[in-house]
Amino acid sequence: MKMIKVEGLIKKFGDNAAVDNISLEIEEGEIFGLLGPNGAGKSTIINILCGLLSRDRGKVEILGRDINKDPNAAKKNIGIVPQDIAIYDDLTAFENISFFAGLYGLKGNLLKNRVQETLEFVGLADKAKSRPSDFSGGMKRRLNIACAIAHRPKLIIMDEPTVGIDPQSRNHILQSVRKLNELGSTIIYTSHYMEEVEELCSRIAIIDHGKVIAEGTNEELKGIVTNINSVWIMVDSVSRVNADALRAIKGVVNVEIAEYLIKVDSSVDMNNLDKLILYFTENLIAIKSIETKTPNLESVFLTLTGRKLRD
Amino acid sequence: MRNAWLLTLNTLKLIARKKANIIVFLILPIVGMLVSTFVYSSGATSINIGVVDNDHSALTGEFVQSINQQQNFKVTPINEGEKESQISSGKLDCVLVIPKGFAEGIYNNHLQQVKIVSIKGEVATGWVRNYINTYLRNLQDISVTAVGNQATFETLYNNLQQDKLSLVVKKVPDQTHNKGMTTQMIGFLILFMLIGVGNTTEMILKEKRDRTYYRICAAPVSARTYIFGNILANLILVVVQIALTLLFMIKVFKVQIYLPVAELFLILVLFGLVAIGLGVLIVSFSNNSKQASTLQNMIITPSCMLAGCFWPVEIMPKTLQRIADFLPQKWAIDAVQKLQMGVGFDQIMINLLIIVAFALTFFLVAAYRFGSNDHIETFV
Repeated sequence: MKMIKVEGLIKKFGDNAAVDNISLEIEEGEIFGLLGPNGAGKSTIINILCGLLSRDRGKVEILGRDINKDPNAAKKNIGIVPQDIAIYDDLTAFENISFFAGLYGLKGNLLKNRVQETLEFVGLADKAKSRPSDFSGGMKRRLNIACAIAHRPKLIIMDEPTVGIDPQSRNHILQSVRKLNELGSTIIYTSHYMEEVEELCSRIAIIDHGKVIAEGTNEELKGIVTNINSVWIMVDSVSRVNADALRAIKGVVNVEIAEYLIKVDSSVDMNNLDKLILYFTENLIAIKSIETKTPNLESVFLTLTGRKLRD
Repeated sequence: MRNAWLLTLNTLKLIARKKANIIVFLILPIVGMLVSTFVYSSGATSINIGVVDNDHSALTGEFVQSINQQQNFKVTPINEGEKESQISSGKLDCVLVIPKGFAEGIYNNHLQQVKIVSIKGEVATGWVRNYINTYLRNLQDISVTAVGNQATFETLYNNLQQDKLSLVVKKVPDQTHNKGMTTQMIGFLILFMLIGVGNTTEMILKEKRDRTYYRICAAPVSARTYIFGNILANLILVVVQIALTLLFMIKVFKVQIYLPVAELFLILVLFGLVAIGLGVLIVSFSNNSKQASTLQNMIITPSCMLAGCFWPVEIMPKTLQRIADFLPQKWAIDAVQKLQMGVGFDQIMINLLIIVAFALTFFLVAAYRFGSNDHIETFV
């Protein structure tokens, strides 16, 4: 059975179509990445999947149950980790998890045991009686996750779960995501960190202007941009580098200049590396290193939309 | 239903963890009672009466003297011009204005009315009115007997003054004092009930701001169940607040309420529903806590003032009294006062129906507002 089946989903706010005829299928056991810039429609899709927003048209099924017709049955299978931390500062970590898990029908000893197990899972067992107001940002994020998973949902939706936290907490969360998936949960993961999505997700959908513009595995998506060759050139100083002059070289499609780094994307069949090196030697700009980069999701998005993901 | 109960318990737990909530719900109504007790005890020993004697006759002089001889009355002669300032400053509880030609009217059996001016209502005037009515009735009876003969009148009158007519005095307790104090205590309770419930319903907005509301609604819980949980928590708090306040009022402060406790409890619980309905209604029209607090400040205290929570409605101008008819507090206080006057419970059914109608209207409008609200896109 499909974990999620979305067919012809449309949601409008006034005249603006936040979700424009989207169809998606997510298999059980997948870690599915949802990528797109701000305002692409990711949040609207997730809100509809959680039953928080009604759709205008289309069909949404969670494990074969229509989210509109049978919302409670569908919601029982979902755990949501929102981007903004949604916990009670006046309740202890234990009470927070216990309250939210209780809403999914857990009670008595089962509830107690699950809360304890979840606290251990997110590494907060020693903080069970502490209030979140005493927690660090990373600990709050972990509690935010704990509140979504104690009832052992079949589908976990995680929206930017690693925003603004220290590397240690981030690694802990990424490991937790993998572990939850190994334990049988299907995961929908959205993040601004491309590396996280590339590393974690078995399939990815790229959303822009309310539409799915590409969908597939990491490799399948990168295959879209095999015609682009990216070269990173490290120099002593970029002050004399003229981006327009580089763009004028035949085959160059994009140039980005950072502090000591020039990123040049070229058509793969143009073989213009010698011309690029010639530009630097003729202008007496010392090259410290040259590296050829394989395409990533950022370049996939750039190729498909002409914009960067974070634009 | 289990989830509604879980939400109720969670709301109560969150309320209990904020000291400010305990103060508003439980301490302030008791402080209100202390204030009422102080106000009423400070004015309870004697009534300060100002007298404007426009007749300056021997008869009116004796009339004023007889009032002054009463144990609980203290008379101060004043001029017509001082009347209003003395009353508004609180130096006098009421002023008697004796019209010119008053004595002449008595002799001729054409009694002219003595005007009583006060802003304190029945508490200050009831006792005085009863005394002067009795006194003037005696004069009128003598006048009827003397059939216009001033010499006969004065003979009979002097006999009365010299105690040749026997008078048996039997003291009865002054109920108006305790009734007034009870009304003011109920007025304070109504105010603090509205403020307390306002704070609790505001938690809905806090939960929206903190996103916990959306996490709850992403669980198998509808927005309706969530609101029901909040209402149930509020109802429990209101019932505890009323029970505790009445317990203090009757058992600790020993206030005679002059109506059955169960009936007073019922009136207050029904008003509690109005308070909850108003709180939810305000929240449904507010986008944030600041907006809700502003609306509460604009509505609660002024409406309590107009409805007679702090002073009797009767002392306000007629226009304001008519506005008070559109306020639920007025109907609750009116029901209490009617029962204190000794009417049957069936006589206050209309009051109860009006209170319930207010509550239902508030709940229905709030339900419509919550149903039409689609501002959740910021959750994820």
